[in-house]
Amino acid sequence: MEDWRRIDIDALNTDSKLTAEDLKPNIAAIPANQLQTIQQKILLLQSTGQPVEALRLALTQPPYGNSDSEKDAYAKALSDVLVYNKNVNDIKDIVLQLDKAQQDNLVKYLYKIMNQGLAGSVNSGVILNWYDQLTEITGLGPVVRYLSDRRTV
Amino acid sequence: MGSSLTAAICLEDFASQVAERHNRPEIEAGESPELLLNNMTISRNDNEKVFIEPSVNSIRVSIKIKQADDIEEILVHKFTRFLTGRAENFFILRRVPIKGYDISFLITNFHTEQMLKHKLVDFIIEFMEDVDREISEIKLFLNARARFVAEAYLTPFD
Repeated sequence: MEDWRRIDIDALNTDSKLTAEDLKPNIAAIPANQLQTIQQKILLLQSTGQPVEALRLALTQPPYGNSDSEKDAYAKALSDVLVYNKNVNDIKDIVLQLDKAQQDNLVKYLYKIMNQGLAGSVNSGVILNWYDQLTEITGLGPVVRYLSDRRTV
Repeated sequence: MGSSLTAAICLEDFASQVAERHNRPEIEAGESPELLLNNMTISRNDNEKVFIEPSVNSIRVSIKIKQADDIEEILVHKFTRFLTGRAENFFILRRVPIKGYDISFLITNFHTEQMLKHKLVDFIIEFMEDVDREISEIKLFLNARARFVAEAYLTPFD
């Protein structure tokens, strides 16, 4: 007879374990062409000297449900906006003009940019600066919400 | 850096839900994805990075120490080997660093119960600063000694 001690009983019950797939929240993806136009609009707003508007647009409805490559492109556009604004006082002003949800999303994007090195090695100091200013204003709340949020950007 | 760590070191006792009567750091076990949280990287540049992997009852902090040239690479290697070889004296040090990094710490809920959280954060930050200073000091010392040895060796041929 088969050695019953070695039978993996969990394999018989497929619901016993959660997989990474199960944890993904069910959020509809933003259509690719719509996302493209948003990205172009963000960069346009930045180039016409409206960084606050650009960030508001970018952070209000981030593409939670899209594919990884689309998310990366979106984050890249956002990081371009961020590295344009190097001045500490500018950063403070901009952060203060965002609302709570937008600040939360900004922290998510800052971590994503640092995780994947999207800003390039020259500009990572700027991203750290953004992070410092933001946590100084908001405290640790957005960081904790980033940690536990499954809606990744 | 400090704020990220402070936020991440928010740990509670959590028994393994896979094996009965086990209690292991979930970040190491990696068996239940629902207990792992989002990773954080904090990088000054490509050579200096900190990678934080939080979970419900443990976090893993990995540090990449600045290595500008071959000598520094050797020094960092020797230095981290010296430390990890004595890991049991450091409590939170992990014996093997994770891939791509030079040294790793593993902080579990048992550590946070015994030690103060802000002291742990301070320790890791201070450690990073000290390592950088130490490595550059050793490098200077090494160069000075190499120069002295070369001089002493070559004087007879003068």
